[in-house]
Amino acid sequence: MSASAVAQDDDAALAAVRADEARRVAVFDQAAQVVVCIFADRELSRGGSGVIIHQDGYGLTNFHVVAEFLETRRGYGGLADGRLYPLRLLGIDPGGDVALFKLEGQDRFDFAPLGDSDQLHVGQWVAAMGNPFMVAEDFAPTITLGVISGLHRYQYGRGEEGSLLEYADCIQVSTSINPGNSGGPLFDLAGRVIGINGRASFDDGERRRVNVGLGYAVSINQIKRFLPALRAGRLCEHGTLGATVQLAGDELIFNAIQGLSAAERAGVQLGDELLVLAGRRVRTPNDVNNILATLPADWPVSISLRRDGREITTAVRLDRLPLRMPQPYVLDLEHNHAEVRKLFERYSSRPAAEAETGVGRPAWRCRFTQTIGEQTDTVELTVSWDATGTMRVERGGEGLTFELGDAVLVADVDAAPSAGWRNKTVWSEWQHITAPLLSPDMVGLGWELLGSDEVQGKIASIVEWRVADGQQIRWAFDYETGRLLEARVFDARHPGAVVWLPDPQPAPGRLVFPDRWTRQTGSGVRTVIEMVSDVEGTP
Amino acid sequence: MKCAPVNSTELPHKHSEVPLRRHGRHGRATRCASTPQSFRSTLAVITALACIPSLAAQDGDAVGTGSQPLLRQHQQQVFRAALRAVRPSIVRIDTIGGAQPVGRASPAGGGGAPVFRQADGPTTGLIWSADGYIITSSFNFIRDPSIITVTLHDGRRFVAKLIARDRPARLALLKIEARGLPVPRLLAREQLRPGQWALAAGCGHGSDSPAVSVGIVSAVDRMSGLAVQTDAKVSPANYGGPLFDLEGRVIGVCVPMGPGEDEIADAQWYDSGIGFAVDTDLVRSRVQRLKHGRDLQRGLMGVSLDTRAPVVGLTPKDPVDQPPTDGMRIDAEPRGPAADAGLRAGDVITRLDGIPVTRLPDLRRVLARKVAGDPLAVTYRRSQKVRTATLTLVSAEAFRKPAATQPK
Amino acid sequence: MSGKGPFLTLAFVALCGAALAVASADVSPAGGPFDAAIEKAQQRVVKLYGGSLGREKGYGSGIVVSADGKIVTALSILLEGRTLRVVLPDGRRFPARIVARDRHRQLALLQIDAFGLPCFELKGSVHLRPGDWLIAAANPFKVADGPEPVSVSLGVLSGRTRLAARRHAQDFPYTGPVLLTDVIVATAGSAGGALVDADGNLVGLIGKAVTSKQTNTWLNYALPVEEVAAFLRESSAEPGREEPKTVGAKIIFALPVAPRPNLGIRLFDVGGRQPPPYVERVRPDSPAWHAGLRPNDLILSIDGQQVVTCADLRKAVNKLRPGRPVPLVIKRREEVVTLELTPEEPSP
Repeated sequence: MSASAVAQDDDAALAAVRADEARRVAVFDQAAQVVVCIFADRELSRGGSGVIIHQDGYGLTNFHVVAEFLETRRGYGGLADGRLYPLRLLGIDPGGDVALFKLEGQDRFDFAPLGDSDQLHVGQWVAAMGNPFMVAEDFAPTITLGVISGLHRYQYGRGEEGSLLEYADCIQVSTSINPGNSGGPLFDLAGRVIGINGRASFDDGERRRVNVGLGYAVSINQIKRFLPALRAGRLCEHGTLGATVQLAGDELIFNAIQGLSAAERAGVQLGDELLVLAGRRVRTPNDVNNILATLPADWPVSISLRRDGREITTAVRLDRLPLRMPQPYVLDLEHNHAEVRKLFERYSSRPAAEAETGVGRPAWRCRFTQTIGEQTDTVELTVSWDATGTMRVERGGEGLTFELGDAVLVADVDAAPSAGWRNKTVWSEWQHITAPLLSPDMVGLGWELLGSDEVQGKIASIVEWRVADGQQIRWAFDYETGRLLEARVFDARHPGAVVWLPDPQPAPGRLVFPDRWTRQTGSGVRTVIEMVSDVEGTP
Repeated sequence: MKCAPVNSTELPHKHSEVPLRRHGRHGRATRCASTPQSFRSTLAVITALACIPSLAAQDGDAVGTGSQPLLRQHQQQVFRAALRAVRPSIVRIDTIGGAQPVGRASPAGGGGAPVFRQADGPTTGLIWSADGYIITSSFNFIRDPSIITVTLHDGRRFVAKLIARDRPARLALLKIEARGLPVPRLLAREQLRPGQWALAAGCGHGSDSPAVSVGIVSAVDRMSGLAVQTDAKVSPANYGGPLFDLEGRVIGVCVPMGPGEDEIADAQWYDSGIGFAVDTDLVRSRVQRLKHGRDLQRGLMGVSLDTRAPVVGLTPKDPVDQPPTDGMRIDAEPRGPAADAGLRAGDVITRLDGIPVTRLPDLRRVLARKVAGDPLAVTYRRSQKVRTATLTLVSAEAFRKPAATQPK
Repeated sequence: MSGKGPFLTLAFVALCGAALAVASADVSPAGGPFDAAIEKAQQRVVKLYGGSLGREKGYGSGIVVSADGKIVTALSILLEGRTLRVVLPDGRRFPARIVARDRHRQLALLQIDAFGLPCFELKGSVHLRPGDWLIAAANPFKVADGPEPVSVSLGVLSGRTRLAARRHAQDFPYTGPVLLTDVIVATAGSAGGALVDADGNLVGLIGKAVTSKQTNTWLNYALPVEEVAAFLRESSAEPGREEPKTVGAKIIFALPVAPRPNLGIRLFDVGGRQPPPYVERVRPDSPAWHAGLRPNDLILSIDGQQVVTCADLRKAVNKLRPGRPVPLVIKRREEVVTLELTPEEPSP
């Protein structure tokens, strides 16, 4: 190439590299605003890192960072604006080495979106941000760049059975990770949090505790499953099958099954070959560990086995892997109730105008449809509420009145399908299910955000209201969108649950009080309540 | 999280720097006839790409510049060119004689860990001025060698004189008898952005050309404002050498810095991905002083302060509990220069040299730029009255009596 | 939370359908700039397990260099036990036997009974320049088990040099050319792993963790692929030989000897570890005398080769050829002076 051609080639290369660099700089600039330098003490002498993931100031960090102030549950968080904020500890997950905190002192915080750690690939650029060696005097985080060195890695935990601070299915990175980085975010180049950095391999003995190019981050997809329970302020527990597998040649065989365990309930037998667990093909005991250790207690899993040449599929909820904490982690009920209210408050009661004026809720024309077997009956009626939440159902001059708090009588429904629209149980259930959507303030004693579950394939927050002895209602909200997925009514006297499904929202993102509710029972009776229009005529 | 579009004024590659100066084969800056054109196309490319925020949603390498393999090849090409550009001003330093110091302070918190020993190999320096001043790291001279030689890029070798050391910044200034030496281009600190490429080069491995490490700027303001932080591998192989950008412009001089008390303690953190380089602005101001031939020491005031940072949103039950919002309170009787200047416990220092200091990092930043012997104007508040005093900073040796609290 | 029911099954079916793809490849459709190189490297790097002794770990890495199961790795105690095992990228385990050792290069050649294996071509490393991307593929700290892919890390070529290092306080035998990198490969288990360029071509074999004599730091380096190729040629030319002879024009690492008499230099050899080459006496009418060398001069370089110690000087002198004048740079008091020295034929 001629000298000027070389020059132009060099210029073009520089321009391209500069452009890519500028993109990265811009992403890092945004991301750095949500990184927290966490301190256990006011003197700022010890701590780690964290990242804000919600505009209300909720953030993620490692459990071993907050273990320093487990008793007081109070610490401090410095942001890149140079200011120090009070920090409150909420839920903890010692098994997975994760914790959730809330930064205070401001109404709204910048936050980072969460990525999808199942979409990562080895060799892609990632950045770690945090406060290694506590050099961030002004709380501007240290940024280190590297690549993903490995996926689905396993790092042994500590404590009995190695279940504390166990890093299963974790992300191995070549970004420099040093003491002080713990709890900080691992970002992809789009600025999404894909993991929380917490461990590194050190060459103990030869060198001090200094990065040698192997860091480990808890995957964000694992953390997502625990987020509702962390938001609830709970001590999280992980799941177990209560069985072990070993490699016999190329086959993964169940070689021990505990009595009364989840594996036993699922029907697994000694000698069965394990093929697929929770949707992932497994080949080694490590694969199995990598899946189970990332799941919460009680999580539903599917199991695919081979026995005598046949393939069998089964499913079961995992058992609890009990944690031995030196002191019980007491639930902060006030915070928990506030979280419950937040979930219901995201739904605007409709129409809002009437609720605000307190004049009394409107009356609604509704359609009541009941299907038993082949037969379907539909009637039109009117539903109205007064200011205290008492509901009245009317048709042709005939009316039923329901007070909130009346026991929800599951017993009646299948015994008297002929009651049709006069079925008190159906209306009572519906009243109790919709009441908090209309009046989130009613949340108080008897209510609790329980934690997470997998509902309709999504990670859901589960709220429970113990309405009366032996009777509860549970709502499942999609954690990501806040949408109500279902509500279930339980009565201790009857097996199974009654499920109420609100219609999926037409416009994703907006949460509007559902118009249509479908009730399903184990005996096959299906009821639909549909709000057609308010009494003045507008739908 | 919204993705703000990056407009061209935020880019590290400022278009006011253009024409892009390239170092041709002979190491001279050339202004080609084609430069204005390439400048325009460069700017156009950068602006066009930078103003498309949605591109950031993809894996950064995958978009905007055409096919993927091209970007990593371009990066290699640019790294090579950057090294070529800065190489003429990198010098190799050889020392003969001297002894390892004994009884050096053990590293903070090390508790029995071995103290780092400087090896016998060559070290690195950077030509600072055409008349023969070389800036390097004091780490390279902890053995107090009797003979120092400097070898230039073109192979010429000179005997060098150690003029003075800057203890807090871990720098050292050498002088060789030469003229017309190639001086590197410098990058000012305000042009730095976390995330931009940063390369470190040094001669410590003894090869013909300097060895290079590629990383990014990890933070622009560290060690009380003395240094830029990088995750390029900084070690005895490149202490005293340059940290530079994609165009070979020097960001700073690599030095051992860290949680330790001196450069030996800090050298133990070599290759950790936590590396520091003293920024060129500070080097410039320090070289002026080092030329006088006296070592520079950290300047101390003699005050012990309430260093707790104010916490946002905390309503103090006891007003004493929350630190003052306009300055830093002296929480013990001052000694030395502060005492001589009339400062007392309870005084709230609000400004140093006119610069507001509401938090410890603010104060440290002002002090870090100063050395023992420098004057300092202190503005302080004592029971509603604001006063000013000027004192002269002293070195740690000046405080003979051991104190319960560490002077700041 | 009790109760199965229709929703659980629904969830299972949805998940199962999506995820039955074999989860071993780590390349996603989105793609990254080094995917192809990483894929290539991970398919050709093996995990080694053997005996441990003291500080020497019982695990390491190796590279596949032939389709019929030849593997090159770092010479190590782990190879000497009776339980030397190779684990291929697909998880298959094989016992391995040692077919050749190179104590100078600290390499070993293993053989396993396998065929059709993906293997590295041994082309060259001269195309690399400092600043070029390098990918290390190895199994430090035995993080990867069985069929799990070995770890990869990214950095650049830092430079090239000749190795002068120590391992466990002893001089490291290999003193030939090495590739320096800023990827940290001086970690337990990395030795024997592959260093590849951005296109996935093998450019070096990661060496055993050593401390550089130049810097007293852990050195991140690899033996250039040319050395590996030379090792393979030698071991195939003379199977079973443990100590290959000097090949070609390579410098033999000789014990320090007195400078050849025809130069006429006597040095101040005061003992100690690394005395600098101060001239004590110059024999009259010798080549050094004719060049203008005087007592108390300090020799800085000869024929362009820096010399810092007496040993350096002796090595450099051994390379000189009679009749060919070379520059001799010396320090005399405060001045640096260049002389011209012409060695003579050795006296019979």
